[in-house]
Amino acid sequence: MKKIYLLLLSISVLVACSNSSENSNDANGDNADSLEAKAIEPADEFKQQVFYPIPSPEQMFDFINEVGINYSVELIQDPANAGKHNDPTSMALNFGVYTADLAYAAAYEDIETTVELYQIVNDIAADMSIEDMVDKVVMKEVKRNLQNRDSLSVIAGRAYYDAVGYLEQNEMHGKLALMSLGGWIESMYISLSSISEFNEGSVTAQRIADQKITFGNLYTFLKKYENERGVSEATQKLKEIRSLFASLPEKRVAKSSPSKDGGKMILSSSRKISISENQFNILKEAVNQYRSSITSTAKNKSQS
Amino acid sequence: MKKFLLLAFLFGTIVSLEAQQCNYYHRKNCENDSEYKMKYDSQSRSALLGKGQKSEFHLVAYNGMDYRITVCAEENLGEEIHFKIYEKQRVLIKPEKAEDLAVYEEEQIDLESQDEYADDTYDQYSDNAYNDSYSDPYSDYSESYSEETVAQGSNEPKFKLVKELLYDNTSDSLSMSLEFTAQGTMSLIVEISIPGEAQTSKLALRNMGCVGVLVEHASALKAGF
Repeated sequence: MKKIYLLLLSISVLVACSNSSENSNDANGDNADSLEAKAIEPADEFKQQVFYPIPSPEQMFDFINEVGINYSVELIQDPANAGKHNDPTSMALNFGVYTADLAYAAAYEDIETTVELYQIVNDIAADMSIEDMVDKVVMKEVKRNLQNRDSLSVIAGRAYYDAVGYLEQNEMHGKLALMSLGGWIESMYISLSSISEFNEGSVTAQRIADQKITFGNLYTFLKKYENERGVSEATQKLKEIRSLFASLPEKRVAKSSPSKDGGKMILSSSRKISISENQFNILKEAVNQYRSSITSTAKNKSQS
Repeated sequence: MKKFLLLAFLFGTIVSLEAQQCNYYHRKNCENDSEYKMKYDSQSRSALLGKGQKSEFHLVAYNGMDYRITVCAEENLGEEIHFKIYEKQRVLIKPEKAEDLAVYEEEQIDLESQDEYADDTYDQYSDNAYNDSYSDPYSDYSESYSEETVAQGSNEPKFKLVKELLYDNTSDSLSMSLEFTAQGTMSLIVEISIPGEAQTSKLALRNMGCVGVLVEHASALKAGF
Protein backbone atom coordinates (compact mmCIF):
# COMPACT_ATOMS: atom_id res chain seq x y z
CA MET A 1 0.00 0.00 0.00
CA LYS A 2 2.82 2.33 0.93
CA LYS A 3 4.36 1.74 -2.46
CA ILE A 4 1.17 2.82 -4.17
CA TYR A 5 1.07 6.04 -2.15
CA LEU A 6 4.72 6.69 -2.93
CA LEU A 7 4.12 6.05 -6.60
CA LEU A 8 1.14 8.41 -6.66
CA LEU A 9 3.14 11.01 -4.81
CA SER A 10 6.04 10.75 -7.24
CA ILE A 11 3.78 10.97 -10.26
CA SER A 12 1.96 14.02 -8.95
CA VAL A 13 5.25 15.77 -8.16
CA LEU A 14 6.63 15.01 -11.60
CA VAL A 15 3.48 16.16 -13.35
CA ALA A 16 3.30 19.33 -11.31
CA CYS A 17 6.93 20.15 -12.03
CA SER A 18 6.63 19.51 -15.73
CA ASN A 19 3.50 21.63 -16.05
CA SER A 20 4.80 24.51 -14.07
CA SER A 21 8.53 24.79 -14.25
CA GLU A 22 8.16 28.21 -12.70
CA ASN A 23 7.18 26.59 -9.43
CA SER A 24 10.44 24.77 -9.09
CA ASN A 25 12.92 27.18 -10.59
CA ASP A 26 11.48 30.60 -10.41
CA ALA A 27 13.61 33.56 -11.26
CA ASN A 28 10.73 35.89 -10.58
CA GLY A 29 9.83 34.74 -7.13
CA ASP A 30 6.62 33.19 -8.36
CA ASN A 31 6.88 30.15 -6.17
CA ALA A 32 5.15 31.71 -3.19
CA ASP A 33 2.26 29.32 -3.64
CA SER A 34 4.27 26.27 -2.88
CA LEU A 35 2.85 22.84 -3.39
CA GLU A 36 2.93 22.38 0.34
CA ALA A 37 0.75 25.42 0.88
CA LYS A 38 -1.71 24.15 -1.71
CA ALA A 39 -1.82 20.80 0.00
CA ILE A 40 -2.66 22.30 3.35
CA GLU A 41 -5.36 24.64 2.12
CA PRO A 42 -6.98 23.29 -1.01
CA ALA A 43 -10.17 25.06 0.05
CA ASP A 44 -8.67 28.28 -1.33
CA GLU A 45 -9.60 27.00 -4.75
CA PHE A 46 -13.24 27.32 -3.81
CA LYS A 47 -13.08 30.93 -2.74
CA GLN A 48 -14.40 33.61 -5.02
CA GLN A 49 -11.90 34.33 -7.72
CA VAL A 50 -11.35 37.88 -8.94
CA PHE A 51 -9.56 38.81 -12.14
CA TYR A 52 -8.25 42.23 -13.19
CA PRO A 53 -7.33 41.99 -16.86
CA ILE A 54 -6.61 45.23 -18.69
CA PRO A 55 -7.18 46.11 -22.34
CA SER A 56 -4.18 45.37 -24.55
CA PRO A 57 -2.07 48.25 -25.97
CA GLU A 58 -3.43 47.36 -29.38
CA GLN A 59 -6.78 48.93 -28.46
CA MET A 60 -5.16 52.27 -27.71
CA PHE A 61 -3.27 52.26 -31.00
CA ASP A 62 -6.35 51.28 -32.97
CA PHE A 63 -8.05 54.28 -31.38
CA ILE A 64 -5.36 56.88 -32.09
CA ASN A 65 -5.07 55.55 -35.64
CA GLU A 66 -8.83 55.83 -36.10
CA VAL A 67 -8.95 59.45 -34.91
CA GLY A 68 -6.23 60.39 -37.38
CA ILE A 69 -3.14 60.69 -35.20
CA ASN A 70 0.00 60.19 -37.26
CA TYR A 71 2.48 57.36 -36.87
CA SER A 72 5.97 58.14 -35.68
CA VAL A 73 8.49 55.32 -35.77
CA GLU A 74 10.87 57.39 -33.63
CA LEU A 75 8.64 56.82 -30.62
CA ILE A 76 9.36 53.11 -30.66
CA GLN A 77 11.99 51.96 -28.19
CA ASP A 78 15.32 51.40 -29.89
CA PRO A 79 15.45 47.71 -30.89
CA ALA A 80 19.20 47.78 -30.28
CA ASN A 81 18.53 48.08 -26.55
CA ALA A 82 16.41 44.96 -26.42
CA GLY A 83 19.22 42.63 -25.36
CA LYS A 84 20.69 44.99 -22.79
CA HIS A 85 18.24 44.31 -19.99
CA ASN A 86 19.60 41.58 -17.82
CA ASP A 87 17.63 41.40 -14.61
CA PRO A 88 14.26 39.60 -14.62
CA THR A 89 12.23 42.66 -13.59
CA SER A 90 13.68 44.84 -16.32
CA MET A 91 13.25 42.09 -18.87
CA ALA A 92 9.58 41.61 -18.01
CA LEU A 93 8.88 45.36 -18.13
CA ASN A 94 10.65 45.74 -21.46
CA PHE A 95 8.95 42.67 -22.82
CA GLY A 96 5.74 44.62 -22.30
CA VAL A 97 7.26 47.72 -23.89
CA TYR A 98 8.33 45.92 -27.05
CA THR A 99 5.06 44.00 -27.27
CA ALA A 100 3.27 47.37 -27.25
CA ASP A 101 5.68 48.72 -29.86
CA LEU A 102 4.90 45.69 -31.99
CA ALA A 103 1.18 46.42 -31.73
CA TYR A 104 1.82 50.08 -32.61
CA ALA A 105 3.81 49.26 -35.75
CA ALA A 106 1.22 46.69 -36.80
CA ALA A 107 -1.72 49.06 -36.21
CA TYR A 108 -0.10 51.56 -38.57
CA GLU A 109 0.90 48.86 -41.05
CA ASP A 110 4.63 49.46 -40.77
CA ILE A 111 5.46 46.02 -42.04
CA GLU A 112 9.24 46.19 -41.82
CA THR A 113 9.22 47.38 -38.19
CA THR A 114 6.51 44.88 -37.26
CA VAL A 115 8.60 41.96 -38.46
CA GLU A 116 11.70 43.30 -36.71
CA LEU A 117 9.81 43.80 -33.44
CA TYR A 118 8.18 40.39 -33.66
CA GLN A 119 11.63 38.85 -33.71
CA ILE A 120 12.73 41.03 -30.79
CA VAL A 121 9.70 40.03 -28.73
CA ASN A 122 10.54 36.40 -29.42
CA ASP A 123 14.17 36.98 -28.43
CA ILE A 124 13.20 38.59 -25.13
CA ALA A 125 10.77 35.74 -24.51
CA ALA A 126 13.69 33.34 -24.93
CA ASP A 127 15.80 35.40 -22.52
CA MET A 128 12.95 35.19 -20.03
CA SER A 129 12.75 31.42 -20.54
CA ILE A 130 9.21 31.71 -21.82
CA GLU A 131 9.98 31.06 -25.45
CA ASP A 132 7.51 28.19 -25.42
CA MET A 133 4.79 30.80 -25.73
CA VAL A 134 5.97 31.43 -29.25
CA ASP A 135 4.21 29.24 -31.67
CA LYS A 136 6.65 28.30 -34.38
CA VAL A 137 3.75 28.15 -36.78
CA VAL A 138 2.97 31.80 -36.03
CA MET A 139 6.51 32.86 -36.94
CA LYS A 140 6.07 31.17 -40.30
CA GLU A 141 2.73 32.94 -40.66
CA VAL A 142 4.44 36.29 -40.07
CA LYS A 143 6.88 35.64 -42.86
CA ARG A 144 4.17 34.33 -45.15
CA ASN A 145 1.87 37.30 -44.49
CA LEU A 146 4.31 40.12 -44.99
CA GLN A 147 2.05 41.74 -47.53
CA ASN A 148 -1.19 40.97 -45.80
CA ARG A 149 -1.64 43.94 -43.50
CA ASP A 150 -4.77 42.74 -41.73
CA SER A 151 -3.20 39.40 -40.90
CA LEU A 152 -0.10 41.13 -39.62
CA SER A 153 -2.15 43.14 -37.14
CA VAL A 154 -3.93 40.01 -35.94
CA ILE A 155 -0.62 38.19 -35.53
CA ALA A 156 0.90 41.11 -33.63
CA GLY A 157 -2.09 41.09 -31.28
CA ARG A 158 -1.73 37.38 -30.83
CA ALA A 159 1.82 37.85 -29.52
CA TYR A 160 0.33 39.77 -26.58
CA TYR A 161 -2.49 37.31 -25.97
CA ASP A 162 -0.13 34.35 -26.19
CA ALA A 163 2.19 35.95 -23.68
CA VAL A 164 -0.70 36.64 -21.29
CA GLY A 165 -2.01 33.10 -21.70
CA TYR A 166 1.38 31.49 -21.23
CA LEU A 167 2.30 33.53 -18.15
CA GLU A 168 -1.08 32.80 -16.58
CA GLN A 169 -0.91 29.12 -17.35
CA ASN A 170 2.46 28.86 -15.70
CA GLU A 171 1.40 31.01 -12.77
CA MET A 172 4.02 33.65 -13.52
CA HIS A 173 1.76 36.37 -12.16
CA GLY A 174 4.60 38.68 -11.23
CA LYS A 175 5.99 38.66 -14.74
CA LEU A 176 2.52 39.12 -16.18
CA ALA A 177 1.90 42.12 -13.93
CA LEU A 178 5.20 43.69 -14.97
CA MET A 179 4.62 42.94 -18.63
CA SER A 180 1.15 44.51 -18.42
CA LEU A 181 2.64 47.57 -16.74
CA GLY A 182 5.37 47.91 -19.37
CA GLY A 183 2.83 47.56 -22.17
CA TRP A 184 0.46 50.10 -20.66
CA ILE A 185 3.26 52.62 -20.03
CA GLU A 186 4.48 52.29 -23.62
CA SER A 187 0.98 52.69 -25.05
CA MET A 188 0.50 55.81 -22.94
CA TYR A 189 3.94 57.17 -23.86
CA ILE A 190 3.28 56.77 -27.57
CA SER A 191 -0.27 58.12 -27.38
CA LEU A 192 0.58 61.14 -25.23
CA SER A 193 3.64 61.97 -27.33
CA SER A 194 1.63 61.69 -30.54
CA ILE A 195 -0.99 64.23 -29.53
CA SER A 196 0.43 67.46 -30.92
CA GLU A 197 -2.40 69.71 -29.78
CA PHE A 198 -4.50 69.10 -26.69
CA ASN A 199 -8.19 69.90 -27.02
CA GLU A 200 -10.08 69.60 -23.79
CA GLY A 201 -13.36 67.83 -24.42
CA SER A 202 -12.15 66.07 -27.56
CA VAL A 203 -12.59 62.32 -27.96
CA THR A 204 -8.84 61.94 -27.68
CA ALA A 205 -8.67 63.85 -24.39
CA GLN A 206 -11.61 61.78 -23.15
CA ARG A 207 -9.81 58.52 -23.96
CA ILE A 208 -6.74 59.74 -22.06
CA ALA A 209 -8.91 60.70 -19.08
CA ASP A 210 -10.61 57.30 -19.24
CA GLN A 211 -7.25 55.67 -18.67
CA LYS A 212 -7.94 56.43 -15.02
CA ILE A 213 -10.22 53.39 -15.07
CA THR A 214 -7.72 51.18 -16.86
CA PHE A 215 -4.95 52.33 -14.54
CA GLY A 216 -7.19 51.53 -11.58
CA ASN A 217 -7.51 47.90 -12.67
CA LEU A 218 -3.80 47.71 -13.49
CA TYR A 219 -2.86 49.14 -10.11
CA THR A 220 -5.11 46.68 -8.29
CA PHE A 221 -3.57 43.85 -10.29
CA LEU A 222 -0.06 45.01 -9.38
CA LYS A 223 -0.99 45.31 -5.71
CA LYS A 224 -2.39 41.80 -5.77
CA TYR A 225 1.00 40.45 -6.77
CA GLU A 226 3.26 42.98 -5.08
CA ASN A 227 5.02 40.25 -3.14
CA GLU A 228 6.47 38.87 -6.33
CA ARG A 229 9.90 39.98 -7.40
CA GLY A 230 10.15 43.51 -8.72
CA VAL A 231 6.42 44.25 -8.60
CA SER A 232 6.43 46.27 -5.40
CA GLU A 233 9.30 48.49 -6.57
CA ALA A 234 7.70 49.03 -9.96
CA THR A 235 4.38 49.88 -8.29
CA GLN A 236 5.89 52.36 -5.86
CA LYS A 237 7.42 54.26 -8.74
CA LEU A 238 3.92 54.85 -10.11
CA LYS A 239 3.20 57.34 -7.35
CA GLU A 240 3.18 60.43 -9.58
CA ILE A 241 1.02 58.84 -12.26
CA ARG A 242 -1.39 57.56 -9.65
CA SER A 243 -1.60 60.95 -7.96
CA LEU A 244 -2.36 62.59 -11.27
CA PHE A 245 -5.14 60.12 -12.06
CA ALA A 246 -6.49 60.54 -8.56
CA SER A 247 -6.75 64.27 -9.17
CA LEU A 248 -8.87 63.90 -12.31
CA PRO A 249 -12.39 65.02 -11.50
CA GLU A 250 -15.28 62.65 -11.97
CA LYS A 251 -18.74 63.92 -12.60
CA ARG A 252 -21.83 61.86 -12.31
CA VAL A 253 -23.84 62.06 -15.48
CA ALA A 254 -27.42 61.35 -16.34
CA LYS A 255 -27.67 57.70 -17.05
CA SER A 256 -30.20 55.92 -19.12
CA SER A 257 -31.32 52.41 -18.36
CA PRO A 258 -29.95 49.65 -20.53
CA SER A 259 -31.86 49.96 -23.76
CA LYS A 260 -31.91 48.53 -27.21
CA ASP A 261 -31.20 50.58 -30.29
CA GLY A 262 -32.48 48.35 -33.02
CA GLY A 263 -30.98 45.00 -32.14
CA LYS A 264 -28.16 46.52 -30.17
CA MET A 265 -28.14 46.97 -26.42
CA ILE A 266 -26.78 50.26 -25.15
CA LEU A 267 -25.10 50.34 -21.77
CA SER A 268 -24.32 53.81 -20.53
CA SER A 269 -21.83 54.95 -17.95
CA SER A 270 -22.85 56.95 -14.93
CA ARG A 271 -19.65 58.94 -14.65
CA LYS A 272 -17.51 61.13 -16.80
CA ILE A 273 -13.86 61.73 -16.08
CA SER A 274 -12.17 64.82 -17.46
CA ILE A 275 -8.63 66.07 -17.83
CA SER A 276 -7.32 69.61 -18.23
CA GLU A 277 -4.39 70.63 -20.41
CA ASN A 278 -2.24 71.16 -17.34
CA GLN A 279 -3.09 67.70 -16.02
CA PHE A 280 -2.42 66.26 -19.47
CA ASN A 281 1.06 67.79 -19.47
CA ILE A 282 1.79 66.54 -15.95
CA LEU A 283 0.66 63.05 -16.93
CA LYS A 284 2.76 63.14 -20.09
CA GLU A 285 5.86 64.12 -18.10
CA ALA A 286 5.23 61.47 -15.44
CA VAL A 287 4.74 58.75 -18.06
CA ASN A 288 7.88 59.88 -19.95
CA GLN A 289 9.91 59.67 -16.77
CA TYR A 290 8.57 56.26 -15.88
CA ARG A 291 9.18 54.98 -19.38
CA SER A 292 12.75 56.30 -19.33
CA SER A 293 13.38 54.57 -16.02
CA ILE A 294 12.39 51.19 -17.39
CA THR A 295 13.82 51.41 -20.89
CA SER A 296 17.20 52.88 -20.04
CA THR A 297 19.92 50.26 -20.09
CA ALA A 298 22.39 49.57 -17.30
CA LYS A 299 25.04 51.59 -19.17
CA ASN A 300 22.78 54.61 -19.52
CA LYS A 301 21.74 54.37 -15.89
CA SER A 302 25.35 54.45 -14.71
CA GLN A 303 26.06 57.49 -16.88
CA SER A 304 23.12 59.47 -15.57
CA MET B 1 -2.66 11.70 9.38
CA LYS B 2 -0.12 10.84 6.72
CA LYS B 3 -2.90 9.52 4.51
CA PHE B 4 -4.83 12.75 4.96
CA LEU B 5 -1.83 14.89 4.09
CA LEU B 6 -1.10 12.77 1.07
CA LEU B 7 -4.67 12.99 -0.18
CA ALA B 8 -4.75 16.72 0.47
CA PHE B 9 -1.46 17.08 -1.37
CA LEU B 10 -2.71 15.09 -4.33
CA PHE B 11 -5.93 17.07 -4.40
CA GLY B 12 -4.08 20.37 -4.29
CA THR B 13 -1.85 19.29 -7.14
CA ILE B 14 -4.74 18.06 -9.25
CA VAL B 15 -6.78 21.22 -8.66
CA SER B 16 -3.77 23.34 -9.55
CA LEU B 17 -3.28 21.41 -12.78
CA GLU B 18 -6.98 21.57 -13.59
CA ALA B 19 -6.91 25.33 -13.10
CA GLN B 20 -4.00 25.61 -15.51
CA GLN B 21 -5.81 23.48 -18.07
CA CYS B 22 -8.67 25.99 -17.97
CA ASN B 23 -6.54 28.95 -19.03
CA TYR B 24 -7.27 28.67 -22.74
CA TYR B 25 -10.79 27.30 -22.32
CA HIS B 26 -12.52 30.43 -23.62
CA ARG B 27 -10.49 30.43 -26.82
CA LYS B 28 -11.58 26.99 -27.86
CA ASN B 29 -15.06 26.77 -26.44
CA CYS B 30 -16.72 30.19 -26.36
CA GLU B 31 -16.80 30.80 -30.08
CA ASN B 32 -20.08 32.05 -31.46
CA ASP B 33 -21.50 32.04 -34.93
CA SER B 34 -22.52 35.69 -35.05
CA GLU B 35 -22.24 37.37 -38.41
CA TYR B 36 -20.91 40.47 -36.66
CA LYS B 37 -17.19 39.78 -36.53
CA MET B 38 -15.32 41.38 -33.66
CA LYS B 39 -11.70 41.28 -32.49
CA TYR B 40 -10.55 39.10 -29.64
CA ASP B 41 -10.08 41.18 -26.49
CA SER B 42 -7.18 40.46 -24.16
CA GLN B 43 -9.52 40.87 -21.21
CA SER B 44 -10.96 37.41 -21.94
CA ARG B 45 -10.31 34.90 -19.17
CA SER B 46 -11.07 31.36 -18.02
CA ALA B 47 -11.20 29.91 -14.55
CA LEU B 48 -11.82 26.68 -12.71
CA LEU B 49 -15.07 26.98 -10.79
CA GLY B 50 -17.21 24.68 -8.71
CA LYS B 51 -20.93 24.51 -8.11
CA GLY B 52 -22.10 27.22 -5.77
CA GLN B 53 -19.08 29.34 -6.58
CA LYS B 54 -18.88 32.89 -7.92
CA SER B 55 -16.17 34.63 -9.86
CA GLU B 56 -15.65 38.23 -10.90
CA PHE B 57 -13.94 39.53 -14.01
CA HIS B 58 -13.19 43.27 -13.93
CA LEU B 59 -13.23 44.75 -17.41
CA VAL B 60 -12.89 48.13 -19.04
CA ALA B 61 -15.34 48.98 -21.83
CA TYR B 62 -14.35 52.06 -23.82
CA ASN B 63 -16.78 54.68 -25.01
CA GLY B 64 -18.12 54.13 -28.50
CA MET B 65 -17.00 50.52 -28.76
CA ASP B 66 -19.16 47.49 -29.39
CA TYR B 67 -18.55 44.53 -27.14
CA ARG B 68 -19.67 40.94 -27.10
CA ILE B 69 -19.30 38.91 -23.92
CA THR B 70 -19.78 35.18 -24.33
CA VAL B 71 -19.77 32.80 -21.39
CA CYS B 72 -19.23 29.07 -21.75
CA ALA B 73 -18.73 26.27 -19.28
CA GLU B 74 -18.08 22.56 -19.09
CA GLU B 75 -21.13 20.33 -19.11
CA ASN B 76 -20.70 18.98 -15.62
CA LEU B 77 -21.41 22.44 -14.21
CA GLY B 78 -24.93 22.27 -15.55
CA GLU B 79 -26.76 24.15 -18.24
CA GLU B 80 -27.75 27.13 -16.15
CA ILE B 81 -24.79 29.44 -15.78
CA HIS B 82 -25.75 32.79 -14.33
CA PHE B 83 -23.92 35.88 -15.42
CA LYS B 84 -24.47 39.46 -14.47
CA ILE B 85 -22.82 42.66 -15.57
CA TYR B 86 -22.35 45.49 -13.11
CA GLU B 87 -20.91 48.94 -13.49
CA LYS B 88 -18.39 49.66 -10.79
CA GLN B 89 -18.57 53.09 -9.27
CA ARG B 90 -16.93 54.89 -6.43
CA VAL B 91 -18.99 57.49 -4.70
CA LEU B 92 -18.21 60.06 -2.11
CA ILE B 93 -19.81 59.64 1.27
CA LYS B 94 -19.58 61.35 4.58
CA PRO B 95 -19.20 58.77 7.30
CA GLU B 96 -21.30 60.38 9.99
CA LYS B 97 -24.97 59.58 10.25
CA ALA B 98 -26.31 56.91 8.04
CA GLU B 99 -29.63 58.73 7.67
CA ASP B 100 -27.85 61.77 6.21
CA LEU B 101 -25.95 59.71 3.73
CA ALA B 102 -28.39 59.84 0.85
CA VAL B 103 -28.80 63.60 1.08
CA TYR B 104 -25.07 64.09 1.40
CA GLU B 105 -24.39 61.98 -1.64
CA GLU B 106 -26.82 64.02 -3.70
CA GLU B 107 -25.08 67.20 -2.63
CA GLN B 108 -21.56 66.01 -3.00
CA ILE B 109 -21.49 63.67 -5.88
CA ASP B 110 -21.20 66.34 -8.52
CA LEU B 111 -18.39 68.11 -6.79
CA GLU B 112 -15.39 68.31 -9.04
CA SER B 113 -13.10 68.44 -6.09
CA GLN B 114 -9.40 68.00 -6.48
CA ASP B 115 -9.34 66.93 -2.88
CA GLU B 116 -11.72 64.04 -3.09
CA TYR B 117 -8.88 61.67 -3.78
CA ALA B 118 -6.67 63.11 -1.09
CA ASP B 119 -8.28 60.77 1.37
CA ASP B 120 -6.52 57.48 1.11
CA THR B 121 -8.76 54.96 2.69
CA TYR B 122 -10.32 53.47 -0.39
CA ASP B 123 -9.83 51.25 -3.40
CA GLN B 124 -7.17 51.43 -6.11
CA TYR B 125 -6.02 54.87 -5.17
CA SER B 126 -5.45 54.00 -1.58
CA ASP B 127 -2.25 52.86 0.01
CA ASN B 128 -3.83 52.16 3.35
CA ALA B 129 -6.26 49.66 1.93
CA TYR B 130 -3.31 47.40 1.18
CA ASN B 131 -0.99 48.14 4.08
CA ASP B 132 -1.37 44.87 5.88
CA SER B 133 -2.02 42.50 3.04
CA TYR B 134 -3.83 42.61 -0.22
CA SER B 135 -7.52 42.58 0.21
CA ASP B 136 -9.90 42.80 -2.65
CA PRO B 137 -11.79 46.02 -2.16
CA TYR B 138 -14.66 44.80 -4.29
CA SER B 139 -15.36 41.50 -2.67
CA ASP B 140 -17.68 42.81 0.01
CA TYR B 141 -20.49 44.02 -2.15
CA SER B 142 -23.94 43.35 -0.98
CA GLU B 143 -26.20 41.87 -3.59
CA SER B 144 -28.61 44.77 -3.48
CA TYR B 145 -26.49 47.70 -4.45
CA SER B 146 -23.60 48.76 -2.35
CA GLU B 147 -21.67 48.42 0.78
CA GLU B 148 -19.36 50.83 2.43
CA THR B 149 -15.81 49.61 2.31
CA VAL B 150 -13.97 52.35 4.14
CA ALA B 151 -12.85 52.69 7.68
CA GLN B 152 -14.87 54.81 10.02
CA GLY B 153 -13.69 57.24 12.64
CA SER B 154 -12.60 60.23 10.62
CA ASN B 155 -14.39 63.40 9.59
CA GLU B 156 -12.63 63.48 6.25
CA PRO B 157 -14.63 62.64 3.14
CA LYS B 158 -14.77 58.93 2.47
CA PHE B 159 -15.63 56.87 -0.53
CA LYS B 160 -17.51 53.70 -0.97
CA LEU B 161 -17.47 51.29 -3.83
CA VAL B 162 -20.77 50.42 -5.38
CA LYS B 163 -21.78 48.24 -8.23
CA GLU B 164 -24.90 48.82 -10.22
CA LEU B 165 -26.56 45.96 -12.00
CA LEU B 166 -26.75 46.52 -15.76
CA TYR B 167 -27.58 43.07 -17.02
CA ASP B 168 -28.73 39.76 -15.61
CA ASN B 169 -29.04 36.76 -17.90
CA THR B 170 -31.72 35.23 -15.66
CA SER B 171 -33.97 37.96 -17.08
CA ASP B 172 -32.83 37.16 -20.60
CA SER B 173 -33.65 33.47 -21.00
CA LEU B 174 -30.28 32.53 -19.51
CA SER B 175 -28.57 33.82 -22.62
CA MET B 176 -24.87 33.04 -22.61
CA SER B 177 -23.90 35.96 -24.82
CA LEU B 178 -24.49 39.70 -24.78
CA GLU B 179 -23.69 42.31 -27.39
CA PHE B 180 -23.72 45.95 -26.36
CA THR B 181 -22.42 49.38 -27.23
CA ALA B 182 -20.63 51.26 -24.47
CA GLN B 183 -21.93 54.79 -24.10
CA GLY B 184 -19.18 56.30 -22.00
CA THR B 185 -16.19 54.39 -20.73
CA MET B 186 -17.18 51.95 -18.03
CA SER B 187 -15.54 49.89 -15.38
CA LEU B 188 -17.49 46.65 -15.52
CA ILE B 189 -17.66 43.55 -13.43
CA VAL B 190 -18.79 40.34 -15.10
CA GLU B 191 -19.97 38.10 -12.30
CA ILE B 192 -20.30 34.41 -13.06
CA SER B 193 -22.08 32.14 -10.64
CA ILE B 194 -22.57 28.42 -10.88
CA PRO B 195 -25.88 27.28 -9.42
CA GLY B 196 -25.72 24.44 -6.99
CA GLU B 197 -24.80 23.67 -3.48
CA ALA B 198 -21.58 25.24 -2.33
CA GLN B 199 -18.68 22.87 -1.86
CA THR B 200 -18.64 21.16 1.46
CA SER B 201 -16.23 18.46 0.49
CA LYS B 202 -12.72 19.27 -0.56
CA LEU B 203 -12.65 16.26 -2.82
CA ALA B 204 -15.56 17.10 -5.08
CA LEU B 205 -13.61 17.54 -8.28
CA ARG B 206 -16.48 16.20 -10.34
CA ASN B 207 -18.41 19.30 -9.36
CA MET B 208 -15.74 21.57 -10.79
CA GLY B 209 -15.18 22.62 -14.34
CA CYS B 210 -13.77 25.27 -16.63
CA VAL B 211 -15.69 28.47 -17.24
CA GLY B 212 -14.66 30.85 -20.01
CA VAL B 213 -15.50 34.50 -20.55
CA LEU B 214 -14.74 35.51 -24.11
CA VAL B 215 -14.66 39.27 -24.63
CA GLU B 216 -14.64 40.67 -28.15
CA HIS B 217 -14.73 44.27 -29.35
CA ALA B 218 -15.20 46.33 -32.46
CA SER B 219 -15.28 50.01 -33.14
CA ALA B 220 -18.90 51.12 -33.15
CA LEU B 221 -17.81 54.00 -35.35
CA LYS B 222 -16.79 51.58 -38.08
CA ALA B 223 -20.04 49.72 -37.63
CA GLY B 224 -21.99 52.91 -38.20
CA PHE B 225 -22.79 53.90 -34.61
